[in-house]
Amino acid sequence: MDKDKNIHKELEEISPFLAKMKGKKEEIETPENYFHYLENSVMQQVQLEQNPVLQKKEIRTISFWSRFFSLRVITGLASVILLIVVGIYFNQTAIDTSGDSLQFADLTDAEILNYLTDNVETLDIYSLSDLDVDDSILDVIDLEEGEGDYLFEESSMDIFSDEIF
Amino acid sequence: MNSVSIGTILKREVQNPGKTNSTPSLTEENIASDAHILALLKEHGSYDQGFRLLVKQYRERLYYHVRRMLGNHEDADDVLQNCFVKVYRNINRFQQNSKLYTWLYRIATNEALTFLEKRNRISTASLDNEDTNWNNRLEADHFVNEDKVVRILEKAIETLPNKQKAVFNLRYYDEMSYADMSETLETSQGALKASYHHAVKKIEAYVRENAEK
Repeated sequence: MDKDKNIHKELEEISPFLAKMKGKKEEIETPENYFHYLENSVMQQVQLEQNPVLQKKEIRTISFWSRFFSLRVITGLASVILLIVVGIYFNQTAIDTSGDSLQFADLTDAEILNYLTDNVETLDIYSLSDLDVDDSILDVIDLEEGEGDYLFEESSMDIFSDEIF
Repeated sequence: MNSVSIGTILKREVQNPGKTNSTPSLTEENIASDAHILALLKEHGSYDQGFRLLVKQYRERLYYHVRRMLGNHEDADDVLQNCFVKVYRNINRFQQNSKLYTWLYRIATNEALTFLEKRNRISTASLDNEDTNWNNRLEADHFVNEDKVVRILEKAIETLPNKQKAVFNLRYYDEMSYADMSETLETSQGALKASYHHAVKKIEAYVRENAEK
């Protein structure tokens, strides 16, 4: 700092009274180690301001492999794999369930006949009657003698007993 | 409170001038040149080192300047920290059209004046109460000296308008040349000389009036 040597002379010219006081400058006291604290405090503040800049620099210098295995890339890859798996699953399900779309009308007589023949033991007359099946087919079914009589007898008796009497 | 009379103090000070001056003096041993600081600040790798040196170099002078403007340690501390942070952010804008220290003083002075304006705006007190407020601030400031003459002088300076206060402090305490003051306060040297002259006269009148009370 360029100190003006004429300052005291100037002050004496303006105010000899104040010029005499000039030697008695103020004694400003500060907390202990204040200036050391001030320096550190200021440096901390400016370093905090610097952080965003430092973070940007870190991203710039990141290696290819680190970038390759970064969280964002891994998440993206996982999403793609998941989409592929889900796609395959639904495609397969569509193939499996395509049989469900087969209607009764689509069956040939021979297919129906084969099915009934194979499963005659588990079918009952009510089940068959629910089906819109041509009677000629039912005629073909080879029932063993007396196997279903009780059904007819019993039902006929029960159903018409009141009418007889 | 010191019970020694004003006359005794003045006599002692005339015989031993400057012994109690707390403002740090500039010596070749403890000062890194502004050119060295600026050279460090220009290089990216040594930027922080340069800034730390700048803070170390100017912290005391700027603190005392701001402290005289504001009257208490806490406000001075806040303002000075803000000042240095602004310097850090804007040092790249310093084109060396002026001296580094006048640029720093300008920032510190503007920060202090802005703070004073805010403080005055917040205060709804009258001029008389403002005087009382100043006294209260001095009483509350644990780090202020208790010398009566100094306190009267501080009070006298406080009665000056804010910018005139800056003019007086820079000339009286920091012994800055009018050329540097002109750079710092962006005011003509003629206007500064006139302002300082009026300030000295006002302060003398105030001190004479209050010294023997």
